Amino acid sequence: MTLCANNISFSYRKNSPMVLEQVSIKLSPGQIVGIFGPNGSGKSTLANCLAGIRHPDKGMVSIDGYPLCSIPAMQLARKLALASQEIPVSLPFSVEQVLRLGCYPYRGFWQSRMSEESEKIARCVKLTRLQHLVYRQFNELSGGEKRRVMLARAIIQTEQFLLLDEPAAYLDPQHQLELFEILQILAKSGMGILITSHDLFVAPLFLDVAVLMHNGGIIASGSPEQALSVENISIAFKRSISIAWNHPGGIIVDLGVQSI
Amino acid sequence: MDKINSQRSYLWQLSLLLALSGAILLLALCCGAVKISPTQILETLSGFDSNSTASQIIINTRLPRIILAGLSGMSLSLAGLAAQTLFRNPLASPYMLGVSNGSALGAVTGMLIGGLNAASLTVCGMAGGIMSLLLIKFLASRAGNFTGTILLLGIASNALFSAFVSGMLLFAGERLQGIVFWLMGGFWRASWAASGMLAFTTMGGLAAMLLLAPAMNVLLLGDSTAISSGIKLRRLQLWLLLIVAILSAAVVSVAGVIGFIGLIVPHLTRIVFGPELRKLVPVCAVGGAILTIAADTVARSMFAPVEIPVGIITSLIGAPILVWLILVKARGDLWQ
Repeated sequence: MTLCANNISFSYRKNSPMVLEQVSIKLSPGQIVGIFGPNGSGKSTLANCLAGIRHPDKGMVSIDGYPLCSIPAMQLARKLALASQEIPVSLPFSVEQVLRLGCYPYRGFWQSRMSEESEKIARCVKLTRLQHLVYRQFNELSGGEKRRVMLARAIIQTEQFLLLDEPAAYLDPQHQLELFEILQILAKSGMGILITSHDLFVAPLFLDVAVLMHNGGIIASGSPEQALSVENISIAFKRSISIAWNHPGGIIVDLGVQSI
Repeated sequence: MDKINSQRSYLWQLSLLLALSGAILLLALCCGAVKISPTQILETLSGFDSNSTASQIIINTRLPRIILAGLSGMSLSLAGLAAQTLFRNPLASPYMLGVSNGSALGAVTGMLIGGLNAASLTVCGMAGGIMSLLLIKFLASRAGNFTGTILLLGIASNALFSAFVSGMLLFAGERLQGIVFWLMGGFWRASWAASGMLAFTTMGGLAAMLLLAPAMNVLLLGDSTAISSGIKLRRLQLWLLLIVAILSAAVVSVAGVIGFIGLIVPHLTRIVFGPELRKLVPVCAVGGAILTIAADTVARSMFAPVEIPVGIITSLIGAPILVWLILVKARGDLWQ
């Protein structure tokens, strides 16, 4: 089963500049794909198109050859979940209630499968190490904690494709590492994961495939070392940036002071 | 196990609320310009006494009025809950859409043209409300941010329709007092026919909200998350818009503009029963009925036989409760 975007183009309004132009990307089970690029390069729009939130003007997004629009909404929600950048500022729910909403696509019209849902939530809470937050009110959490809860909700929603838009934003270094460790566990269990990020410091270490975007198009794609080469990054970020991949503590990104 | 316990405690609390509504109903039947004993009420309701003056008052005056008040309270609190969910804003009220003022404009037009009979009021009020909804929907469908645009158009149309209503009052002549009194909200024009019409819209709204409640929970998480969860966002938003508009327009067309019920009842019931909408929808409806029947009983008993418009009572009760909710209970965040 693969999630594919074939030559998709997208603009937010008629006659406005294209935000995505002829982008193709493939996400397979067990794979972690990272989309990188500066602000405004089209990463989030691509994630939204892949999730079926936005519909491309040209091209097609499909799962196993079936266009997303041909798959019933609930069935699609069970196949792929999006944790968007949008975090509710205020919610009347507890963390447990937010997590339970991840089970929505599995419910019948009225009833919920209580014990199944509770087991699923308990497994996810253990995996994402949210035990200490479960009974707190969502509104009382910090920005980073809210993001972790929303990520956990998305993990509960699907077992096939997880699309995470800037998942490491608001997270401290420890929780960023923890997040990518969790994503690796999920990928090993067969989940296909796509993340978007403008941050080159941590994410590349955990990826199978990296994609670099600039001005709505893909300028490089492949292994992280290949795609995020000094030349490619310099083109995308318009900065002289060097990366030391083999540093023992992880990668070192040296941001040049000179604009290109 | 926790879930079963919470289910049981919910049923207990719901039973208590229903018992409270029964007690309020009995009290409302007893109170008024003519005092009626609980025994007489029970005899009338059980069919043993149908000819006495007391039973005539109960059957023809008080019962339809109490039922109308209860249904209005249910409609307004459900419309408030739907508006707060649609706009993801705890301060949203059923009157934010501008439909209520559209409905008031329709009803006032009806009063000036056709006189003060109940049927013309209801028809014109509903027509005004539905026309203002269609106008807002037509304008909002051209914009990108649907709910944001609806909210702003609601504010604009509220101001516009309110100006028209005020302007029409200048030409009301001797009908001015009746129209102003009606605009303040009240149930003195209650009839079985009006109750029947309102029962139809209220029960329809309640059934629709019970069906939509699981999706409404997810809607609160945000547009993208809702779509990604399998919700047809625009369809759900339109349903909620329709529910808010029809429920509030129906109440305005039979009872005038009654404030605060739609704003505070969802919050009060949320404090006791929690935020989960499958549980909140039924209790919100019952809570709204209780508060409105109580307010109407005060309105017609306090200075009997003189009657105070119920909108004044609900505002007098509602404003301090809202202040308490914001400053003390929720400390600035009404979703807490």
